[in-house]
Amino acid sequence: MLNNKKIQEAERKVLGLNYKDGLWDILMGLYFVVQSMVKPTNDSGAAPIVRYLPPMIYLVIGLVAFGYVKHHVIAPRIGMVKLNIKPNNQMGRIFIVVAIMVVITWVIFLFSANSGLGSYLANRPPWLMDVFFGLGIFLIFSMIAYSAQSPRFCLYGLLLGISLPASVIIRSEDQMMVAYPTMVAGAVMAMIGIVMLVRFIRDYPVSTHEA
Amino acid sequence: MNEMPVIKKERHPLADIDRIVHAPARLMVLTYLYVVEKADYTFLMNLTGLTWGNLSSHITKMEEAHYVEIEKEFVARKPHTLVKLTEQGRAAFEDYKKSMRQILGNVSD
Repeated sequence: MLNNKKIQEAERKVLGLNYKDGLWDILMGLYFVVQSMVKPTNDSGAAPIVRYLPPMIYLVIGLVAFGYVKHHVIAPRIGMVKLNIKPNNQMGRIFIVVAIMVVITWVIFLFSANSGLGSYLANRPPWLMDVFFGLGIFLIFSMIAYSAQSPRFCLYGLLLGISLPASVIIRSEDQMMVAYPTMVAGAVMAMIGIVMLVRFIRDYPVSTHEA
Repeated sequence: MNEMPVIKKERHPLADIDRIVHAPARLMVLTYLYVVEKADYTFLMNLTGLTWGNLSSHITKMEEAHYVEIEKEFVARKPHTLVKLTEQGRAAFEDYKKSMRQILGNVSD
């Protein structure tokens, strides 16, 4: 019977096919690797331009490469789709919930950094705040996993969520240690993405028909 | 002279079902078009598992019924066809959904 559940399944199948190529995984994974390399510079109190430039440069290059591969490698294989993101459908609702969660996490982060909350939490175990943000990241990735029918996003959420408090717990004299958990999480994401891209190219040959 | 009583027979709702929507392959295509804004032939083929010819014939039937509209464009000098559900198609799909719910809702387990 054609019911709302079947329509939701169709929405999830569309999203799942759209994210099957592993490109987002590679883009995000490499971003976290770059970010983790910058973190020791962050902690050393370097000028903002030194701290933010490498991730910004990576994002610009990464997004251009992403667009190129999506257009020339992915689209001839699975075709093109324009998603219908409206507040009254499932995709729209999930998009709104994820956006709200991202905004709330950032607002709390900024608020805690500029208010008494930060100093209050500073008296608690040092990893407490990171556990909180780690949980937020895990929830955001879980929502993406559910909407795109891709359980791997739960794993990414878990890895990134754990990497925040882990960075604080294993902090040592060696500043580089701080970045390892995030670097591992990013590398795992990028590696899964590369495997998915190779499998995708193998499983979906270029369509011989006019699209 | 006795007049014959007029017996009003109610048509079964299934008799009035929209046959353009009711065909399994077309219903599948319409369900996917219902949840996206537009998609091209290759994407629909990958989603539905239909062959090129089969998909093309079903889309032509739906286009004749004004349920979908075709947008042709050129991408990197290659022809590219996008399929979009029309307002009429969306309404027909929603009516079908309502009818089926009504019909199957009345059937006991």
